[in-house]
Amino acid sequence: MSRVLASKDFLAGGLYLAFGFLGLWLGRDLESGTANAMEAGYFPRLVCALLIAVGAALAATALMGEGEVVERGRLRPFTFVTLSCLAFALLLHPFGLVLTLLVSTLLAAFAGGNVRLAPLLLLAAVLIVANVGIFVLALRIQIPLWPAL
Amino acid sequence: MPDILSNIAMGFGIALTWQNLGLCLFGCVIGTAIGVLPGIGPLTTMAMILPVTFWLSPVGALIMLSGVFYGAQYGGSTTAILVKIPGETSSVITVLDGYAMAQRGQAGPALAIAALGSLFAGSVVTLLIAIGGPPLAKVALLFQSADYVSVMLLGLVSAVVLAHGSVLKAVGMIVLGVLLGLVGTDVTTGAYRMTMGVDVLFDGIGFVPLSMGLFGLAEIMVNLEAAAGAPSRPAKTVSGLMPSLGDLKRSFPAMVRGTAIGTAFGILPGGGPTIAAFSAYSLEKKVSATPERFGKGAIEGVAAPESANNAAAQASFIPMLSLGIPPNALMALMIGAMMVHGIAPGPEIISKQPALFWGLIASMWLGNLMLVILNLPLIGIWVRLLRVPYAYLFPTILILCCIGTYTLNSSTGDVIIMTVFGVIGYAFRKLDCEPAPLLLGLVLGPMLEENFRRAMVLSDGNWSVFVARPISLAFLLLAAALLLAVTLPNIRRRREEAFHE
Repeated sequence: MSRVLASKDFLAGGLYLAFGFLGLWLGRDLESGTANAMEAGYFPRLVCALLIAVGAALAATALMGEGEVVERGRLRPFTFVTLSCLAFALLLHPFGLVLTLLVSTLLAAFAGGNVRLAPLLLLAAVLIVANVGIFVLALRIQIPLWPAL
Repeated sequence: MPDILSNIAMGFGIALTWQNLGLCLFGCVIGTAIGVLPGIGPLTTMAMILPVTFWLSPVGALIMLSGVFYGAQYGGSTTAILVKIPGETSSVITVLDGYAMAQRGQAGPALAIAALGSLFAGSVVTLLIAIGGPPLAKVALLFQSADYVSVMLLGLVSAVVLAHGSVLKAVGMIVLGVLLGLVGTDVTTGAYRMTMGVDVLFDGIGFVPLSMGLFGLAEIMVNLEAAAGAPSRPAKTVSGLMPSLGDLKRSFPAMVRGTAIGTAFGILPGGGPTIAAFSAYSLEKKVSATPERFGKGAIEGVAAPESANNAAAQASFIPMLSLGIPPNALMALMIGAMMVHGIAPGPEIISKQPALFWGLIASMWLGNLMLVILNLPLIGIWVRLLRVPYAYLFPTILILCCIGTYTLNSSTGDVIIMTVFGVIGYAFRKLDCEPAPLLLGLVLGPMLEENFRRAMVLSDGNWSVFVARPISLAFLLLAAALLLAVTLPNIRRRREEAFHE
């Protein structure tokens, strides 16, 4: 049984069900209206219902057979890639582009393992120079460069 | 006919300005580079350079983005042949015979045939767009809302049929995409939908953050997990590019067949270069008098898929430019780029923006020519790119994803959305859910709703409007037939074979 519950199809079905119900719940206050005068909620509910039906069907078929089990993932790439992007989003406005790129690049590199500091710092420097050059100097996009004091 | 000629002349007038020529070249170079590099695809790249295109003219922006797209098809084949690493999924099949040829010391002819096949396909399809696009757009002007709903349903259904693996999973991904496309402000009533009160979501889930997360970030996570970077293989030296007369004779029919298949799959919604290349290869094997040569260095096995993937890449512009409906995720991104420039996609593009349409077409042909020149003599440089270790490549891609997403709206909220979809995309990969159909759903979702609403208003809530209009009925029947076909056991088995070959 646990094999079935860990199967790719069953989990995918569960994911669709979850998204379908989440959509219904988030849109619970929207008016539906009628078919000839649809309000904001009509079409989303239709789509959610369809998604729930598909999810249920997928999960049900998975229960009947022995599907492929999900392979174990590795935590490291997943965690550090996510952290690196979050760092970019959260640090950019208080600390500016230069420091943010440095932190994000370092965090990203940890996702791969086998990091040596010297080439890594060089990479960060290259990325900082290239990005500042392209986006700030050439394209004149308003990005803070340094911490706002 | 003279009409077309003068239009083409106008197109070349636009494409041949220094600025547009430069942008085309730039796009092709970037495209070839990412085509060579495994682990970064045209979709991610186009999304990354999208912010840069805001500073260009609309034609220039589209010229550059298209260059990246078809450039990637060329670049992917180079590494497939020389080092057995397909840079793009559309070149996976080229590895079989291309690498076998390279091992026999025929890398030069294999590369030349791949490039010539692509040029041939590119030229034919370019001409086809020029001749077929305008009349198709005129037909599309007859479409009413109900017809649009049905043609989009057909598109979504064929995206399901052409997706890998389980049909139900693909349906789910598309429906989920449509649902995500509805998040944000409802255009008709102005109500905020499913935004959780988060202000970055008021404008909806952006195409760029979503695709960067689903494709860029998730791809990095999976790549890092699969291996600490594939070991780099020494490239074969290339000597003598010229294919023999016999090679040319054998490959020409394969190129023609590959181009035909590629065009069909490119126009078909949900199709695209990869499936076109696979189908062209299996057809070539079937019609060959000596199928046993395939896999051991048959030149047709290079010519057919390489023509097909380039033909498909370019043919997918046909529905995008003449109907305003993107047949795949890449064209969805092109539509996104047009909308940023204030050009509404739809059948009026050709008549209202002739400079855009014809300029783009002319530049596609020029771009194909440039690519042959770029690829053949400069092969050594491209292969050297492969020596860049993934340990340095992936942080670079990651940073570009972040900064590209940020610059789009100067919003760190978009970067958070991207990160969230990176996590979701990783889960999808683990569960074998292919993300491309989701993207198609995301783009078509709002269009589908708008037309569906309008059709229902016009029919006063009568659902039979979708079967009452002949155009709509025809599309629906086609969609039903496709769905039926894919569930039949016989075809189902063949579909699986085609994907596993």
